[in-house]
Amino acid sequence: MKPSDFKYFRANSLDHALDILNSEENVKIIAGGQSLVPLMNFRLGQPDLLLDINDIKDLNFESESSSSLEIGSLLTHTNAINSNLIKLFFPIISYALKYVAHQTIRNQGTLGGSIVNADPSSEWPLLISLLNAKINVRNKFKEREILVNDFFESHFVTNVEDDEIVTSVTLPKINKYCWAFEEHSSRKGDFAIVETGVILELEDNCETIKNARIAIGGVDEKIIRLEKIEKKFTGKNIYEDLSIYKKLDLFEAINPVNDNHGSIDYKNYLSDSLLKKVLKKCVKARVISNVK
Amino acid sequence: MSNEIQLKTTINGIEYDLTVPARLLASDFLRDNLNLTGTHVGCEHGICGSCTIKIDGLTARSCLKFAVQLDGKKVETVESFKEKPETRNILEKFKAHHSLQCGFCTPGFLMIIDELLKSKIKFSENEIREALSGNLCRCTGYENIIKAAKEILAHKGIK
Ligand SMILES: Cc1cc2nc3c(=O)[nH]c(=O)nc-3n(C[C@H](O)[C@H](O)[C@H](O)COP(=O)(O)OP(=O)(O)OC[C@H]3O[C@@H](n4cnc5c(N)ncnc54)[C@H](O)[C@@H]3O)c2cc1C
Ligand code: FES
Ligand code: FES
Repeated sequence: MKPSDFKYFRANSLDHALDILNSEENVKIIAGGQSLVPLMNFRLGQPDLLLDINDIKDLNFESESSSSLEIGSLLTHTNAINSNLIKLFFPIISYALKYVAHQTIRNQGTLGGSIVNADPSSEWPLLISLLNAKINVRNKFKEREILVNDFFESHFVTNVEDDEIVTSVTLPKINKYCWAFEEHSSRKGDFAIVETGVILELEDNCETIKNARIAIGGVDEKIIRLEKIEKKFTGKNIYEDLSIYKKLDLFEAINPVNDNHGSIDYKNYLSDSLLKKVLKKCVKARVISNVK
Repeated sequence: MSNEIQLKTTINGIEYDLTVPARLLASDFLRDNLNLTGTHVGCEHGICGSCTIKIDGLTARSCLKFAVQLDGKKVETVESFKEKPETRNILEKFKAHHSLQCGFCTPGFLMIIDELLKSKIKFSENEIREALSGNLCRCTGYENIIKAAKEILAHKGIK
């Protein structure tokens, strides 16, 4: 239960950190440490060098442009919940992140760490999937932007290379929309067994669905967007009963497994009931207008 | 870049300047190097909460931080609670409500309640229960901890 021996370096600039990632072998980045240190304590992770990025100021910011918000990868869950900019444009983030563990963990855990950790039951991965985010990453030589669809590969695996740092996430603003998020876990603060979120983008009349986005987590090796159901919602009126979607469209899209959190049948049942719940909640919610 | 790192940190108001191994957990540093054994170690993976301390005013699991990460920080451990009237009041309320039996979990609960006390928002009873549910206690059955917490937070107003 103690980590193996390693060297430690705290970088205070992004360039310095990228140099080290480029030149050293078996380096691990540490942000909040809330996922990495448990693994190191169990010796499931044994880096030769721990690269602490917490002092890199360029990774800790929030900014707004006419079309998007950009959030630095070091933003902690607690600071995200308290951010006025996030509350204003994407209250679903402030809402959903309260389901992440307890405050002590949220004080330390970060956006970048959470998405690179890529746990399919985690809240941030579901949120960035639902928000059609772009993930900005850099290595020593170049910057690239990854669309969220290409970002998650599988359980705990992303498209980020070993020499890259996630610098920020760009969240495109949405003109008129309503939203809802729900999850079920054994106890409050535990990882979700199933989590689901919905965003209904609306026409100017605030009733016709222009574009539906539905994401579900915990039931596959990564977050799943329910594209079939999303497509069928386009053009519908939000006051129609949206909960009468074709169940097969849901069950064919997900791939839950039997484990100590529940059987496949139970997780299918949970997915269906949570989806009905978020759809109901969503149409009752206040419509948000993002673009000034 | 080394396995041994210089560390300058302030713990309960006292400044330290030492060299420690990079792999030393903050929890072990406090207990073994500084003899601040009020911080308890239960699970070493963030679940039980007995190792909770404050770093720059925010609670943190000390088993999920390395000692070297305390460099330049202000750290508070449970040993600081007897120094200030508002934290002494937390201790007294725990005593009055018999909120501990073996006391292993107590330092963590005290830290969490102090963080709730210092936050600007009011909490409902349910929210207090939820906030404390991140820490495990094997003895009390929690009710007496909740009672103390409610009384400690009462003067802020309970929702
Ligand atoms: C008791 C407990 C309960 C939890 N419950 C939940 C929960 O309910 N929901 C949930 O979502 N999470 C939960 N977590 C995990 C928590 O949210 C973590 O904070 C988060 O998953 C990882 O963020 P971090 O900043 O701590 O990352 P770290 O642990 O520092 O790093 C995680 C991984 O990401 C890499 N990394 C970090 N930052 C970057 C970057 N900028 N660029 C490239 N790679 C990077 C690291 O190398 C490492 O591989 C829990 C954790 C604990 C201890
Ligand atoms: S010892 Fe740190 S949370 Fe249990
Ligand atoms: S009093 Fe014994 S664990 Fe809580």
